Amino acid sequence: MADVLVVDWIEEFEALTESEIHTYAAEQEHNHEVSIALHTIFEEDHNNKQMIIDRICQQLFAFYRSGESGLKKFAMQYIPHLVLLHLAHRKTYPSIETLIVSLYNLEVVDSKGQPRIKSFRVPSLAQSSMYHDSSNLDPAFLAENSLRRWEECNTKLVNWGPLPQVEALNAQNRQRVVTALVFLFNQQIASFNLQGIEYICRAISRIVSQGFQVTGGIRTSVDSDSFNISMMPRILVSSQLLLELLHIVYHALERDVSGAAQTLHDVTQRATYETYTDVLLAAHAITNLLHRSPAAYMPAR
Amino acid sequence: EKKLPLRSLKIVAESYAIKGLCLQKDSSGVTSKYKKAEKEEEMYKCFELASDLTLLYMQELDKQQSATFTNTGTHSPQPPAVNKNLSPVLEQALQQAPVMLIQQNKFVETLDRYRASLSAVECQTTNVVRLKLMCQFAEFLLQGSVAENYKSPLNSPPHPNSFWKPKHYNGINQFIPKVDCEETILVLLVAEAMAVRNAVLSQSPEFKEARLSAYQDAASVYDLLTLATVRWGQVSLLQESLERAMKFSFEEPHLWRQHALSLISMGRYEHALVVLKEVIKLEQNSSVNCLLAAKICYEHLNRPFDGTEFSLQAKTKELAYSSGLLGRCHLYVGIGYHLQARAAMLKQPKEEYNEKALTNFQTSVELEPNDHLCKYYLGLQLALTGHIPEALATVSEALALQPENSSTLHLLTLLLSANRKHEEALEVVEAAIEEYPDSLNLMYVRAHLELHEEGGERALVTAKQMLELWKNLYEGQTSSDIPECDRKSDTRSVFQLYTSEMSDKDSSSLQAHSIAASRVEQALSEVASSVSSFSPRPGPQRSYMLLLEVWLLLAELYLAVDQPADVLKCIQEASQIFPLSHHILHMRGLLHMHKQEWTDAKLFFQNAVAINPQHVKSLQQLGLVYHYLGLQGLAETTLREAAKIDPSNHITWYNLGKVLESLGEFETASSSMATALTVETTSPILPFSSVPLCFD
Repeated sequence: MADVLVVDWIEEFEALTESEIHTYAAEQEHNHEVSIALHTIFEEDHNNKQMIIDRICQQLFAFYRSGESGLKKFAMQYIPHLVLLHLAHRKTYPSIETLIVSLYNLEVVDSKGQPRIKSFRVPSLAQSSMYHDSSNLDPAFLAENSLRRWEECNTKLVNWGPLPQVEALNAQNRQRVVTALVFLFNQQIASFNLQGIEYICRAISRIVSQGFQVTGGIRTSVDSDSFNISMMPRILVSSQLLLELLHIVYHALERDVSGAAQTLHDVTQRATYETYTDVLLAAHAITNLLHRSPAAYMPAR
Repeated sequence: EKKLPLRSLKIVAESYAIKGLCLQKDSSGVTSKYKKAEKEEEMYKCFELASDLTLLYMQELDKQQSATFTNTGTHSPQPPAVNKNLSPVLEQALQQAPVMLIQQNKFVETLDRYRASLSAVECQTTNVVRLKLMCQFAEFLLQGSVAENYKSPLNSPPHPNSFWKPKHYNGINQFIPKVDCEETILVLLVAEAMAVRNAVLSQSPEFKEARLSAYQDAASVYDLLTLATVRWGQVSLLQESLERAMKFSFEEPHLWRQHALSLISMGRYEHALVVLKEVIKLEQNSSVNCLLAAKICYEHLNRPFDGTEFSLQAKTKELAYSSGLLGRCHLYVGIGYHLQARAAMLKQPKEEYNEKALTNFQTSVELEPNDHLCKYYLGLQLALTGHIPEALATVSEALALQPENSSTLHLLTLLLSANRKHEEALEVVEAAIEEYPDSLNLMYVRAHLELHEEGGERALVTAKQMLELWKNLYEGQTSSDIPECDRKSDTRSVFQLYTSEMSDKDSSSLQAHSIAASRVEQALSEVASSVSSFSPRPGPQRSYMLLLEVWLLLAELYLAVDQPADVLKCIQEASQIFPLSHHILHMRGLLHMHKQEWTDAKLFFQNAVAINPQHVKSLQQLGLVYHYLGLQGLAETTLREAAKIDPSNHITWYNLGKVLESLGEFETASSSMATALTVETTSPILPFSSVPLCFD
């Protein structure tokens, strides 16, 4: 069913002429059916899917390159799912690898070809701000570190990037490349549709718990493959990637995506198993925020 | 909008608040889209006015009270009863205004609303609601709803001067955020300062409720701060805050644990261990804390005994309260014994530790058949105890589970070389380098294999590549003039140091180092730097030690291709980095050996052994030198010493055979030679212990 829809969608795009692209792009943002169908295809059991996935990758890349921001965004929303598919079935889908490398290389530079950098200053309470007056502050907050940070505020920035271009993925750079992509996805996460995020959460759950015996935690969605999932090989997830994935889960929880709580549980489990301290920090923080005030701060939207 | 007296101010504020709330309740009748929007607009106007007026009213109230307070002097011991609480209606209005906008998906307006409320000068009464608002605002920013439309308050128009607007923070040289990350962190830091001020320190039962609620407010701030900082690698900021929180978090496991985790993430292991011990006490049932403690003991503090104790404790907890980590517990116990066996000097305890390590690894493999790490360690342990075929089989299984693990590939290479399959080993290591082009460890093995298989010229090429690689990876790190501690904190943020992967994974050294020896070297170099003009190079020592080892490798290779002049140059390069390393002394000894200058060689080997009495390679050569010098008795004792430290080294046995032969003890000489032959069939190109400790 989903396949048919997607094939139609691909053929429709292929038949477009240049002048129609703009209107087409405007439509895509609301093309709910297709966007869900794509997620379904990515989620389904992965036999004999090479053909259609090849074509999807081609099309997503075309979207990305089209210069239409709507189309680019449409392609962006599949980044986590593609990344997770790549990690789980690297050998089966060479086209996904190609797509990931191309997207990465396009994303690490800006429109002028300069390396893209995101940076910000670390504020220090020692300097008065629009929200406080440092002269009223408790002396504990004006300790050495705080003053040092004030001094360095404008010179020492927190940076993301510049990241080098890559020619191909290998064991050394794979996790970093995909982490960078998920990071970029997270920059725009609020604008992607919720149902898609629900699919992504499920995919995250699968990735982090594949190859592990299910311990505790009630699976809300009965996976048809939950029996053999513990038999499959485990998938390497670096702590940085897991941290970015956790951000997706946090976002999902805040927006009340169903099943996100299970994903949080799975991610925490995995981080505990691997003793990833930074992931544990974030995971505990999220759990604690949830426990204390289930959506008390923010109304469900 | 004219100036209102205090009383009217409150009344007007409350009436707008109530009107807004009424409008909100009564939303049933509206059907048309246009009308709905109109109504929402009106509702928002009410809330906005109510918020501004509330803040203004509170400010005025504060001013008046403090004025009366100072006028009356300090006769009364009690402060005047301040109306601490905001009326619930006003509080609700303040909170509802932004929430309403979020519900209508007007994110830019929400941003403005929060800013308008929060940049109003704080006064005592608004304290509670302000903290809540700050947390909400931070959460709103963290969710990234405004990500693309974020506008810095720098560009927004200045606050209009009106009698109905509260007073805002003002001043020169204010920090004004430019991007959302800055604003999130700023808001949370301010919130933290407020939460810490509100915290209740008293533990007496009458304040219990107040204490708990203040603690929970503070904990939310810390949790949000965690989310805002960890992704950017700014754990140090978080850790500073958490340290302040400790004073009011008595027996609160959550913040203690977070503090411990943040310390580990920052690399302050000694401190982290102390905090972790406390967490272990607070969270009786959780085994993961013990595992964390064990891991830092193994990986960073070099305390294998304590690590083993922690792992055993974890196992006990896991058996009582299972959380799926039993396999890991056995693995960690095994690693502990494995490390203790490595450090043990005496034969009997060494064998006991090896035995215990092996059983624990076997149990962990049974419990976690899917875990490559358990299989890897089992393979390593089998290899160390001389069971090469079994080790090979286990390591292949580990590779089937995780085909790209660099440590496993490293071990496989060594195992193949131990099995006399050098060609295959070379193939494996070359394939591994394809996956890990920046791994100096693998290159090091490759150079040695090439030396063995294809001669020195080829190996020299590899070693030169390593030099180049080092330059690319580390020169940037060492040349800048930031102090080392700062640069370390940079390295922690993955986004900054692209090349940090290998340095994160590797132990600091290519070769297996003895800790005691490196301590002696450290002490000596301190002495040296005080008496001579030698000063250590600036920058992280770790990366310089790697460079030193590359130079020594080059020296070794030049020696193999018979270019003593180049050997000397390499040694000089190495000595400029760290002159007192026993590896350098060893290398100098080898050079003199090569030139057949026995007395000089003897001196250098003796010095090397003086620094590191466990250095088998130096002992072997020293024995040989004694042999050439005709001191056969001394030669024999030295070599027997070497054999005791590492009984599976064929060179030792071969040298010993030679010595015994010249002593005329042909029986023992031949048995020694025979031993050399048997152990050679199972000895790898580099010792198995040269594979760095790995945990992933």
